[in-house]
Amino acid sequence: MLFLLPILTACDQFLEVPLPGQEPRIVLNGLMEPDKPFKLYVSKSQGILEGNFNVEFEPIRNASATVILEDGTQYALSFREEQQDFYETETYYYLDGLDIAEGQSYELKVESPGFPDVSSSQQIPEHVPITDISYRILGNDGMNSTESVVEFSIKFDDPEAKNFYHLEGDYFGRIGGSGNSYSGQLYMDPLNPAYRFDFWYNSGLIFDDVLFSESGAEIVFRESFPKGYDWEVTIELSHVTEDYFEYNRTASLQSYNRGDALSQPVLVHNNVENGLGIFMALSRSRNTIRFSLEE
Amino acid sequence: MKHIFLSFLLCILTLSSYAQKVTLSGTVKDGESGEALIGVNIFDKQNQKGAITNNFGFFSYSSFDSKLDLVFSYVGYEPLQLSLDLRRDTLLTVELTPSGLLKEVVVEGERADPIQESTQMGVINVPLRELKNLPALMGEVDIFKVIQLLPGVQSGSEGASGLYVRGGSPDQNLILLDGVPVYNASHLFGFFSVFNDGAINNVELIKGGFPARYGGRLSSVIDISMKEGNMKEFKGEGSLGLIASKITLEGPIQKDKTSFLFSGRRTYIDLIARPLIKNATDGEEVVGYYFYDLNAKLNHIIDSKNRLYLSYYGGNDTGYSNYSSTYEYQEGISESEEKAGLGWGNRIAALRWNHVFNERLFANFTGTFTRYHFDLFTEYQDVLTPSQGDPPIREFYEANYVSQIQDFALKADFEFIPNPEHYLRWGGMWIHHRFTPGVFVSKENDSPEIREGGNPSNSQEVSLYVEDDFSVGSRLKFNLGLHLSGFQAESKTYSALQPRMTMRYLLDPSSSIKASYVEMAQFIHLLTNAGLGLPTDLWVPATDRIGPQESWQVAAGYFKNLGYGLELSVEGYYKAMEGVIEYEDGASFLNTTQDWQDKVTSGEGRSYGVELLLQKKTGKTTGWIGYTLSKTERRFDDINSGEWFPFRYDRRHDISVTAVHQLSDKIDISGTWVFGTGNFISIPTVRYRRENLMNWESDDYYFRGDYIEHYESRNNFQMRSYHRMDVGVNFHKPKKWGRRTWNVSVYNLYNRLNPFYMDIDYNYEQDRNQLRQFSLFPVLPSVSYRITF
Repeated sequence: MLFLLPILTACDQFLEVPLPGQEPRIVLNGLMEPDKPFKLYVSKSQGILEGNFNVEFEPIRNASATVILEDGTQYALSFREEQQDFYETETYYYLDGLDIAEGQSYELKVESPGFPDVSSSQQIPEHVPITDISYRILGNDGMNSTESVVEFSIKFDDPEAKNFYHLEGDYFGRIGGSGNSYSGQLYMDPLNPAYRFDFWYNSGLIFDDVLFSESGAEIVFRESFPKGYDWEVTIELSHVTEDYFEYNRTASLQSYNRGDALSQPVLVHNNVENGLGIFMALSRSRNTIRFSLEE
Repeated sequence: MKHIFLSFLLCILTLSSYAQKVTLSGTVKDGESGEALIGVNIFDKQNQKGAITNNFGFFSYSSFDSKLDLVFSYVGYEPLQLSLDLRRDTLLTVELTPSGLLKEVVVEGERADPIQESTQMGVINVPLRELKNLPALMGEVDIFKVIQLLPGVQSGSEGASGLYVRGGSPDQNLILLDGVPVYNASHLFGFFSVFNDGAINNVELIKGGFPARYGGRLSSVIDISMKEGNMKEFKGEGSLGLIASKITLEGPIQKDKTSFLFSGRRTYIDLIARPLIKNATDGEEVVGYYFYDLNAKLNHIIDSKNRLYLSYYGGNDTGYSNYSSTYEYQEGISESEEKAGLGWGNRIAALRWNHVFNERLFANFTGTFTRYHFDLFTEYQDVLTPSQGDPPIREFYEANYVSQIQDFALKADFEFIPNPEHYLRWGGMWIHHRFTPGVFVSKENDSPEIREGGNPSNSQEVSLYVEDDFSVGSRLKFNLGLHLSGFQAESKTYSALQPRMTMRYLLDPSSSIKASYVEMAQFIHLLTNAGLGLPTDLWVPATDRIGPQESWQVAAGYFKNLGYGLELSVEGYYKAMEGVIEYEDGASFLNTTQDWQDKVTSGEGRSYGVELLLQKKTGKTTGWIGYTLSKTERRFDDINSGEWFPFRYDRRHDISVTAVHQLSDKIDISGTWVFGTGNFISIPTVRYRRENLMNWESDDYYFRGDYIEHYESRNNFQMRSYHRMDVGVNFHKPKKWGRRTWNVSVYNLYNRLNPFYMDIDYNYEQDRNQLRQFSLFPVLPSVSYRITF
C-alpha cells in the first residue's frame, strides 16, 4: 500500500454526500445488580459528521427515566449532577431503595422531549457462587527471582442454559509486622488461551460457558506476586447477561482496533430500542483466599 | 439425485445402440502458424449435423452416411468447404487461412460455435481480437480488464484486476493457465493481471452452467490457453509501453514437428527512478518496484496420435528499499543499514500428453505444478566502531513474513465421440496441496528466534467426473454430468457429489432457450481483507473447524443469432452459497499471532440477477454492449447480528459498451464506457459515550473519553457510482520486416474521480467532519509502440 500512497493522496476530495442516520438519539448506559442502587447515564449521540475531531457528548438533563417491574409497578429515577473536578461533571439518573432480585425482569423506559421514547429490559442473572478456590505456588517468574507465579483454580456450578461470566479479582499484600502493603487488580493470565482476548483491556476475564465440561466449570489462571508478603486475594465471579457480555466484548474490540485502517469494522452490541447504548445486569459472588510467599 | 444418476446411466448405455458407418477425426490448425484452433465449427450440410474442436484443436465426427459436405468455419478465417466420400474411419488435419479482410488487424481467431447451438450457457469466449485494439491503462492491455467488461463480472475497486463473478468472491474463480490453477493473478496490487497477451491463444469465461469437467471453485472458470508456438516459421511480437515492455518469440525447432514459444514482460519504473532517487538522497537510499512475467512453451508432435506440451510460467513482483548511512561521533563511527522489501509471484509448470486412442477417443494426461509465494522482510543493522580501538558493537533485527500455497497435481481427461449425438467426457484428478498460511519469524541480536502464525499443512484433493453432451431429436440437447470431489483436511474428510445439468431447446435455426442447474464445491478459501487482490491475501484449506464452500446455481436464458455477426443473449440466474468465509468484526491481518481460524467466520451468500449481452463479432465494427442487473448479499451468524447485509461488491446496475472500428487498413479506433453503481463500505453514522459501568466502586475515569462509533450495519454505505470512458487509436503500418503499430490511449477521458475508498475525516477549511473520497486514476494518456514480425 505504501506504493499506492502517493497516488491515493493525490486524488482525494471532501464530498457533500448525505449520510443517513445523523440525527441525535438517546444513549443509555446502565448496569443493574442486586443490593446496589441503580445508576443510569443518559446522553445524546453525536452525528459522525457533526462537530470536529474533539468528541464531546451532551448529557440529557430533562429526561424522564422509569424502571418498571414485572407486576407493572413503576419507579422513577431522580436526576443528579455532581461536580467531579474542575472540568468534569457527572450527570446521571439514580434509583435507590429498589429491591433488585435475581431472576426478576426489569424494564427501563426513558422519555425526553424531541426524541422518540426508548426502552430496554434485563433479567437479573441468578447468583452463581464460587464453590472452590485453590492455588499452587509454581516458583520464580522466569528470570525474575523476586516474584513467584501462583496458579489459581476457580470452580463453580454452571447453571442450565447459556451463561456468561466476568471474573475479576484484587490482591492485598502485607509484609508481616510492618506497615508496608501492596495492592491492585489481578491481571489473570488464563491457562486456556481461548479465554485470552488481546483486545480486553478491562480487568479480569470475560467468557461464556461453551468450553465447560458437564462435570463443572473451572477457570485456571496465573498471576505473579512479589515474594515476602502475606497475600489476601479476593475473587469476584459475576454471572452476567448476554447483553453485558456482548456489549463489553464488542466495545473493547472496537476501541482496541481504532486507528487500524485494515481491520474490519466492529458493530457494537446495542439493546436500547429506538436509541443507543446498553442496559445490562449481573449478579456477583465473592470469595477470598490467603497465602504467604516466602522471601 | 437417484433419478438423475439413473437417467445419466441410461444415456451412456444407449450409446452402444448407435451403429456408425464412418468417423472423421483430426485437428484443425491455423494455416500460417500451425497453431491448433479451439472451437472451430464443423458443420455437415449433407446431414445437418456437426462438431466443434476441443481445447487442443481435436475433433471427431461420425456419420451414417459416407458422403460428407463439411464446412469448417472460424471467425477471422476463410471458411473451408470439404466434400468427402469416406469408405473407412479417417484421420484428417485441416488448415484454415486467416481471412483477407481481417488479416491486417486480427492476430487471433475466435471460436465460431453459434451461440444458439451449443448446450452451454453462461459461457463467453473472451474476444482476444479486440483486446489489442482496445484502449489500454498506461499502455498495458490486460485480459482481466476485458473480462471485467463482460456482463456478470464486476471489477471490484478502481484499477483492480480482481474478478467478482455473479456475486462470488475472487477466490471462487478457477483461473487456469494451460490447465494449471493460478492462485494470485495480480501484478502491482491488482492493477494488472499476470497474463501477458502476447503469449495467450484463447480465453474462455464460464460463469454458470458449469460442465462436470470443471470443479473446485464456486463462481467461475477462466480457462486460458497459451499459444503453442508457430510450427512453420519464426515469428515475433514486441511492444514498448510507458511502464512495461514485452517480447514474444515463437517458431519451429523442427518444422511441423516441434515448436517453441517464449514471452517476457518487465516493468521499468525502478530502472528509471533509481538514479533520480540515488541522486536526491546522496546515494543513501534506493527504492524501487518492478514486476516481470516469463511464459515458455514447447510443443512436440510425436506422431499423428501423440503430442507433448511443456508449459511454464514464472512471474514476480518485487518492491525494495535500502537505506545506508554512516555517522562519525566522538565515540566512534556508526554505520547503519536498513533493508525492507516484499515480493510475491507464481511459478507454474505443466507437462501434457495428448493421445488419440482412435478416431473417437481422445485423451489428455497432465502433470502440473503451481506455487504462489509471498514474503515480506525487514532487516536493520547498526555497527558502532569505537574510536578507542575496542571491538565493534553490532546490533541487528530481522523479521520475515512468508505465506505460500503449492500444488502438485496429476490429471487424466478422456473425450469419446461415438456419434454426432453424443460427446462423452470423463476423467479424474489428484492434487497434493501444501499450505503455509502466514508465518512470521523475527530475530533480534542474541535473542532466540521467534516464530508466530499458522503452521504449514498438507491436504489431498481428488475428483472424478463424467459428462455427456447429447441430442434428443433435432431441437433438444442436454449436457448432463456428475462431478465427485473429496478433500482430506486434518482429521476430517469432506466430499461432495455435484450434479451438473444444462438443457438447450432450439426455437428456430437462429434462436434457442437454455436452462441449467449446477452444484459446486470448493475446499479452499482465500482470506482477503480489503478485497483489493493484495499479495497478503492468504489461501487456506478447509479444516475441521472451517468447512468447504458449496453452492447451487440455477439459470435460464434466451440466445439469438441476429445475423450480420450480431449475437444476443439474455440470462437470469440465482446462486446460493454456503460456507463462504469472512473476517469477523475487528479482525485484522496485521495480527500475525492469531490463528487465521480464530479470525474468520463462515456463513452464506446469495446472488441473483439478469445479464444481457449484445455482441458484434465480425465486420469493420466489432464490440459489445453488456448490462447486468443484480443483487448480492451475505449472512454470517457472528456478523451484523446474524442479519443479511449487502456484499461489498453488490452492484445493482453494471453497464459496459465496447467498440472497435476499423477506419482503414492503417487506422482503427476504439472506445469503452463503463458504469456501475457504487460499492458498499462500512461507515459509522453516530458516536456515543461509553461509561465505565463495570467498576462501580472505583474512581477510575479511564472511560470518560471513550466513545463508541455506531454502524447501522455491515456495508451500510454505498459509495458514488463509477463511470469512465476510455478511447484509443491504433496506427498500423506494414514494414519490410513485418508491421508496426502505434497505440495512443486515454484512460478516463472525462477525468471522472471515481471512488476507490471513503472515510470520515476532518476538513480544516470547513472546521467539521466530512466524508472524504480517495480516487486513483485521473485522466491518463498513454502511448505504446508494437511490432510484429
